[in-house]
Amino acid sequence: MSTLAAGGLRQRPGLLLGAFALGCSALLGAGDLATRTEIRLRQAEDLRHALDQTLASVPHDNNPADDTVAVEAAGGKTITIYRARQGSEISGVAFNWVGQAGYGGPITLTVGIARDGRIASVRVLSHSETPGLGDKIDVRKSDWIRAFDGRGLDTGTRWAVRKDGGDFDQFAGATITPRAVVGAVHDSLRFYAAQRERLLAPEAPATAGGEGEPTAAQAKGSAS
Amino acid sequence: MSEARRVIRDGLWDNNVVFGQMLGMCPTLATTGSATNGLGMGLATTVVLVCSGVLVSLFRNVIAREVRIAIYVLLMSSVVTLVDMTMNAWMHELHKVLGLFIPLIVVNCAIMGRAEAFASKRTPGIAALDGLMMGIGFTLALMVLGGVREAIGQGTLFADASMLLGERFAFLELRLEDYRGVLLMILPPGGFLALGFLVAARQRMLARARTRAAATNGDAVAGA
Repeated sequence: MSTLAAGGLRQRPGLLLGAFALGCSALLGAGDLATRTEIRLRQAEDLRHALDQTLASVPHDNNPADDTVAVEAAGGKTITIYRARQGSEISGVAFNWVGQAGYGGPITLTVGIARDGRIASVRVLSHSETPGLGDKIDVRKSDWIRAFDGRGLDTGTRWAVRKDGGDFDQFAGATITPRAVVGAVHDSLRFYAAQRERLLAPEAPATAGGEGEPTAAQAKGSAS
Repeated sequence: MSEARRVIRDGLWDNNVVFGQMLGMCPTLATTGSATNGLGMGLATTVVLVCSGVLVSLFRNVIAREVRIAIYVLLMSSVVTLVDMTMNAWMHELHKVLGLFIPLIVVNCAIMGRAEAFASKRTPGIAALDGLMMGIGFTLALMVLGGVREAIGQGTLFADASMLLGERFAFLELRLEDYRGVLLMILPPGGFLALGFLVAARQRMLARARTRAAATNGDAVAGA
């Protein structure tokens, strides 16, 4: 019976191809179902870990991963802001910031900023810089990225690499990458300064139920 | 048994994916900036080679010639996607390091090559062995290529192996002190250069083996 069906399908390549497409789609669907929740959990862990790292120096007693607000940035991008709270007051925020291109493409940072506008901590979330040169921006390879800690727009910092007359080291053989990161961190601070009122608006997550936008943002934040 | 030995020899040396067949150059050149990256790409590719070999072999009597390539593409891209999802869910740390490479496997024509040249004509068992051996051969080739580029380019070997394999493998990481490195070898041109020299070295070895074999054959004929 099955060989008969197979023989019949052999005569009709179109049907055969369709059958395989159907089979593969079913397989992928099943795979997605089986792994979806697990992948969500892992990604939530990653997010929590990244927030723990970037908001470590900011005192807070909530889970910033669950306390989000979506803010529109220049260029129409929506940025999800994770808020650290001490009591009901927001003590700091963290968000992902896609900076200008480095040597190998865009560099995505997770930036933690304390309430006073100083950098709590910066971590590189993803990059494609040259291994051994530009990848020293990764905290696992070098402490360079910690040079941003505690700096703000009001700390008299010259936001450029030393070669350009600034306060941050470039790497031997790689200037483009650190220049891009310094620029991106600077931009993220200016974004924070411009949006400060909105970011620090103290509406609590529990009472935000009545407002449409933040609720949707929270739903999105907790789902991803 | 002798066929299995033939398959093993083919995969590891005689018909090595990189040095013998010169297939899969895109992932080969793109990921071999370091030995660790080469190892990661090789391992992920091996899994896909085995799975796609078994699948193609299982359906070899059903697949009509006219649509076989389309069906292979379907099967392989499904396998790659499933591997990607599975690793993301249950081997998340590894996925963070290898995740970058997994989509690249789809463009590795070695997988299509083995399906067409081998798996479509053989039983699943031997097809799985072929996939495994081709995969191991590919992995070794990528590790050698990555190792050469990494050693000359930045004076390290298996840097960050512990990120890929876990802390127990930290002993693999070697570092040459006071060596500035030849940046060119890490960049794309270095990939072509290293590959060229390695292929030339292999050809020389093969040529020597051939003359030696010819010489011993000559002796045998003379002795008889």
